[in-house]
Amino acid sequence: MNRTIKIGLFALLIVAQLAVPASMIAGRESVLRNGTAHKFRTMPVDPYDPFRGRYVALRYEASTVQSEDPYTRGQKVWVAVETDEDGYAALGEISTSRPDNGDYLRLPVAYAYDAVVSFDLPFDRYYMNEYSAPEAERVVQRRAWEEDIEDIYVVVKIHRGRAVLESLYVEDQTIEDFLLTSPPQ
Amino acid sequence: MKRDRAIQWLYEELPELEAQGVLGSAETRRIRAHYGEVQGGSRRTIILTLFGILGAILIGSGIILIVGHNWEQLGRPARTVLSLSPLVAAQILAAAVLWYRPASRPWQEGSAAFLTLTIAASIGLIGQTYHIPGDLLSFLITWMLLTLPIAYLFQSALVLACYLVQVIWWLGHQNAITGEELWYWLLLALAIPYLIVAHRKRPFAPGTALIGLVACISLTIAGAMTADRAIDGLWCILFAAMFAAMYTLGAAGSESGVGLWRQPVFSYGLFGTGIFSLVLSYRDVWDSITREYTRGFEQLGGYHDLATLALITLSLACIAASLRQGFVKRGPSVLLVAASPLLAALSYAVCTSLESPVPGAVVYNGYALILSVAAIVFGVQRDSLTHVNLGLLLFSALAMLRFFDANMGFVLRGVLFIAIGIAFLTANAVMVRRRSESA
Repeated sequence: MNRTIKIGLFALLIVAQLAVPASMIAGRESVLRNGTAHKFRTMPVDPYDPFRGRYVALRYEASTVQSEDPYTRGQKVWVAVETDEDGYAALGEISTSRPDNGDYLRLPVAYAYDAVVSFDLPFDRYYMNEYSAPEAERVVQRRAWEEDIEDIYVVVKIHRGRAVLESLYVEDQTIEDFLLTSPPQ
Repeated sequence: MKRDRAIQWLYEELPELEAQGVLGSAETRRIRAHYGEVQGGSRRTIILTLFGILGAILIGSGIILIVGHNWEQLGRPARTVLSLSPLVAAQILAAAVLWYRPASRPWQEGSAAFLTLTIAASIGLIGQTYHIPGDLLSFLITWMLLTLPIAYLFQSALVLACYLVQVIWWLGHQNAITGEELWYWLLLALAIPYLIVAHRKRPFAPGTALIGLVACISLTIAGAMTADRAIDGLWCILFAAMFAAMYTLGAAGSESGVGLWRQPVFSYGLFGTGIFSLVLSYRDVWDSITREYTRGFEQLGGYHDLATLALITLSLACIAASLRQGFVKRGPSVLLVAASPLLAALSYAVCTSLESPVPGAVVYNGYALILSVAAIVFGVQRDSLTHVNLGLLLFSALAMLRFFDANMGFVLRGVLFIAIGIAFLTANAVMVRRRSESA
């Protein structure tokens, strides 16, 4: 196989290799630009993923829906995203076809039991460096124990069923700013 | 390797001999024509290649570590650019190597390995920039399908070995109920053209040996996972067939004088058959085969059953195809090993119909015994210390296993061990003396 053919094939391969990260970027940039912002209240926990760096794993208060309908685990459905009276996001009606208006997410059912359908929201991690992440966790655990920090939430942009996590906020400051200004524990 | 080095030495001596009139130029040419190309690569190339690869791995790992540190001070656009830079740099380097250094193994292997790592690094970095949820399986699939063409274009054994590892990693993470993991076999099949070319062009090169070994290990793991979900006990036929197929294929492609390390498929099949026959010589093992835990023979028909049967058939076909060539190169021992799957099938049939573990255990005890004796005899005849020792090893392993089963006094066991040890030493001493006598 001569050099020219090899280079030609390699050029095709390069395109394929770049296409993967490019499509990841393009898809998400589109959501960030065109999507509506929603605030999801969180309850973080901190693990370590060596391949991906340090991140704060996030769990959400609004992750369940009351419904009598029989859904099976792994079944993909459309879930409406609404805003409650405090301004935070909540999951609304489940339907098996794409809704015509409003914001919604396409999610697989995590489990359905006793008229409660539960979902794993797809923005379950927030990447920070390995020094900030455990601090972020400590700050947030304080909320759980001492209740002196009220609002820890993420801002998620949702667009046509896709969600991209934008920022993690503690009491209306981004987590990065919060860690800079709050005293070290 | 020893043979190659000897030939290399001879080639180096030839000019001197010619100058001194010991050989004429016609003879020198004939000698060179007779021995042909020296295979396997000289030492320097191997060392250079290894350092090239090491450098690539270090650079790649360094990048990945930086990935781990997260650059949150930078805005998203900057992070995106930095995420893609290693990949683009690696691609430029690889293209340059492909164009300017097509014959240099160290450059080809190094740039290919670097490129493979930067693909993973880039995807990981982008994932961090956009907080993308983790999905190991789809990441692995993407990575492996982008890796495979690199292996082919650069003829890089290391990258192909990486591909095989990715595939088995993917397999390990699969939920083994849905049957999706059977796609493994298709993914593995994609590597077969490379394996065939490598065997034809560089049969005993270190790179080929590496991928041969990784491929055998990979096949064993995948075979186990496939057979695990098939009908109980079918695994014994599957493994007997797979090891025997590796042995005969390896024998057909082998050459005397090349060490066992350079022929991993052959060695793997050899050791696999030996160890497996020891495993099957246990009564308890046949007990678990005949007892139906989850699925009996009447329930034949699931994907895993079909896959297992297909694999067994494929292995038998490989044995049939390479038996003659293997016989020519390695003698009757090939027939002995090739009999293993037939024995396994027979024992399986008899044991399940009689619902007794005894026939299988008896057959395989006998088989292991015959294998070890055959190896010893073969070794004595062909003056191969390796074979004699391996045969003795198998024999003593068999003896020890059986004697651990039974309840014997320590004194008796001690005596037995001493006897086996003396047998080893005597055999070795006799062989060495015979060799020095005939020299």
